[in-house]
Order: sequence, then C-alpha cells, then structure tokens
Amino acid sequence: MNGPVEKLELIIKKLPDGALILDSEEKIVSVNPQAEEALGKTENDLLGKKFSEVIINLPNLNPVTNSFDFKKIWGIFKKEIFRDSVSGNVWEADTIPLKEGNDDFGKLIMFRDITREKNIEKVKDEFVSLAAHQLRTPLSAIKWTLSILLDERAGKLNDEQKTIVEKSYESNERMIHLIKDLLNVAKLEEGKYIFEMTMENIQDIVQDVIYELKEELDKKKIKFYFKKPLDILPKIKVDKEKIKLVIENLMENAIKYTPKSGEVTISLKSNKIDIEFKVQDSGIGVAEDQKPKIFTKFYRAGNAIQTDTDGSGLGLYLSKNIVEAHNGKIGFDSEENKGSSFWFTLPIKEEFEKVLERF
Amino acid sequence: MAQKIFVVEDDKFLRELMCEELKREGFSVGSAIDGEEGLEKIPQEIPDLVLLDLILPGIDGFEVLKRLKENPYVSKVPVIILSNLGQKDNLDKGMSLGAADYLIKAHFTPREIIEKIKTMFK
Repeated sequence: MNGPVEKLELIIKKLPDGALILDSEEKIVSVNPQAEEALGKTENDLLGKKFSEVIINLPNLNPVTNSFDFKKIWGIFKKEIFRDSVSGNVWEADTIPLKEGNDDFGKLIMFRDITREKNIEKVKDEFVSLAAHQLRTPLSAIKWTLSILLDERAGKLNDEQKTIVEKSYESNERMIHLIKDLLNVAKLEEGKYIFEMTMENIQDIVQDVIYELKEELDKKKIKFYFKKPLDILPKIKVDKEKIKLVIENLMENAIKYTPKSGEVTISLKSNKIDIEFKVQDSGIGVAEDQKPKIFTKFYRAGNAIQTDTDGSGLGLYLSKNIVEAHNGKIGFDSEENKGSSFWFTLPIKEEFEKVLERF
Repeated sequence: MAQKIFVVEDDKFLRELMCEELKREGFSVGSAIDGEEGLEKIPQEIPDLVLLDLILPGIDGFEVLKRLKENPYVSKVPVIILSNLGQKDNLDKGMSLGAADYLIKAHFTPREIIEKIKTMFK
C-alpha cells in the first residue's frame, strides 16, 4: 500500500457514498461497497457490464440514464432520485461527466442515501400545512368580522373609522397572501407541486389575466398595449393554473412598480421553437447591483420595498421555478427609473415529457 | 319559502358569524358543531345546501361528505366545503367525493360566500 493509485482506490472504497465509474462506452470499471448497497448488486455482477444492461432488472433506476444527456436543468450534473422498493430507502444519483478538454474518460455516478433527508422534508411539510391551516383560522375570523364592519352592517362608519378599518383589512389580506405564497413555496420545494398538463393556447390565458387586471390598470391610469402574435399560436402542453400564476405575477409587478400614467406593453410571439411572453413597463426598474438577486427567494429590491411595502418576495422565485419546470427560460432587462422588461419562453415541442418523469 | 342552509363548523365564532349573515340575507339556518351532529340533523332537516368544514372533532368533513352522498334522502343536497386546508390533494379529494365547490375560508368574506350560494341556486 504505497502508490498514489492504491491510496486513491482505498479512498474510493471507504467513501460513505456509493461511487460507480463508467468508461466512455458506459461500461462499469469501478464499484465501491456503498454503490453495491445502493444497487443491491455485488461488484462481480457489475464490473465490465454496460450500465443500461445492469438496470434492466432495476427499472426504478431508469431515470439515471436521463442524466447521460447532461441537459443543464439542475446544474452541472443531473440528480436523479429513486426509491428502493424493498427497503424503502431513498437514494440520490448524481452523474458527473469525466471530461478533460476533448477527452471523454466516461462518467462518475455518486449514490447518496437521502432517506433521512426525505423524512425530515416530509415532517417539515406536514408542519407547514398544519401551521398554514392554524394561521388561516384566526385570520379568517378577522377578515370576516372586518368585512362586516366595512359593509356597515354593524352600524354606519364615519370616514376616519372607515379608513382605519380598511387599513386593518388590508394588513390582514397581506398576511393571508403571505401564507398562500409560503404554502406554494413549501409545496414546490417538496417536489409535490404537481403539474397537470393540458394543451393550451397561451393567448387565451393572457387575455384572461388582462381582463382580471383591467381595473388595476384603469385605477393607475396606465396606458396599456397588447402586441398580439401575427398568427394564431400553436397550442402547447402547460399546467394552465401555474402558467397563469406566472403571467399574473409579471403583470402585477409591472402595474405595481409603474407610477400613475405610465406605460405597460405585453407582447406575445412565437417562432418554430418557442413562444415568448414579454411585459414591458415604464416603472422603477432594477438597480444594477440588485439584478443578480431578483429571482431569489424572499428577495425584494430596495426601490420595490419603498414603492410598495407589501409583497412577499416570493412571486419571481415561484415564477422562475414554474417556467423552468416547463423547460422554459425566464429573464429580464431593466434600467433603474426607466423601466423593466420581463420575459419568459416556453418550448413548443413536447420536451416537457422528460421533465415530468421526475415528479 | 326561504331556503335553508345548514352549517357544519366547530369554531363557535365562525359558525355564529356565518349563521347571522345567512339569516340577514333571508335564508333559514341550521347548524352543527361536529360531524356526528351534522349527520344526525341533516337527514332530518333536509336543507337546500350544506356548508361543511373539514377539520372537525371526531369524524372529519370528508367522512361526513361521503356519508351524506351515500344517504339517498340527502345525496342530492349540494355541499360546499369551507375550509382553511388549501392543498390541492384536499381539494381533489373533496371534489371527487361529490362536493359542489371548495372554498378557502381565508380567501372569501361571508358576503362573497353567500353570493356563491345565491349563484348556485339560480
């Protein structure tokens, strides 16, 4: 036991995680004990065989081969999660390409036992659901009683009283929305943000949202334009409810952060590859140094907080997750005090099928 | 004759508030504080609509809904679930058990709920 190779082999053998090394032809060249446990097979069963052969009797491992395409959805390498139906343990398989320059040395697949993490996640989500319900109960009571006061069912209110009660009502509504957003985020992170896919015309969804927000636009006297697509858009497979949420989020932001008498323009267009939705506003924009954080959880830019004190900071985070889960892209251009242009694209082809497998 | 709405809600405050509002709007009202009482009274009173909470002491709202739909005397009575459980699985379960609608209490005022009821009766 003196050479560096022997030392490395020992390290790989002792790793707490499973390590499987494939050569450039997907043949298994190295197996460590934890990998044996993850796959339920011994080194002898595995060495020299092609990975796809091995997993014929392990159908729950099929998703792992998806990562061999290295589509960059989750990052540099793709994670796949699978359950051992016998023991009930949950494993995560990370596939890392072993490339140096133009040389392809194969792949490294790391197996991690995440049973404990999954259990903690389950407990956390049950807690969040319960907490949301418990919080909503008194908030409903406040909402209901204040609405009765505002309707002047308990007697007439003078202007001052009306203002005070309205403020109370608004604060309460903010709390209710925050809980709704938190619940959505918790669901999203738990991976249970189940998508129901149907063939939809995006233009119809956009029209619905415009109709809903018309009052808001009129209230702020905002000049509104809708650049419709030249031809009828092809129908694409989307989760209607979730995509509507994204469109609502981007439009509401445009309205919220654009001063009175400003301009908001929506454009919708498509090419053979994808459909693009864009909202352009003449609002407060995003400062350079705050741009990188815009899509992060709970983040609210300084000027946004000043313009509108409520807002959970979850809207764009959720929107980004939804768009990316549809295999689309989301982004924005902006100049402080001039305006912002938020856009997202959705692919027309049904590549989404592959992403569905992970849910 | 005024239409009868039956409210199954364990929270005294919310139950009384809802009943008050319904009476103000000209409905006649019945109520129960838990599932058992609901299952006892509803077949006797045969209301025109039931407002059903899900989280109840004893048997839960889903069980109450299921049994109401199994009872031929009251299976046709529309049931609106009124709950603060927001998750989609609860919504799906409720609708698949035969609920006419599923409303989250925190998202609707009593007046808006009553509007929904009136629409349903049209």
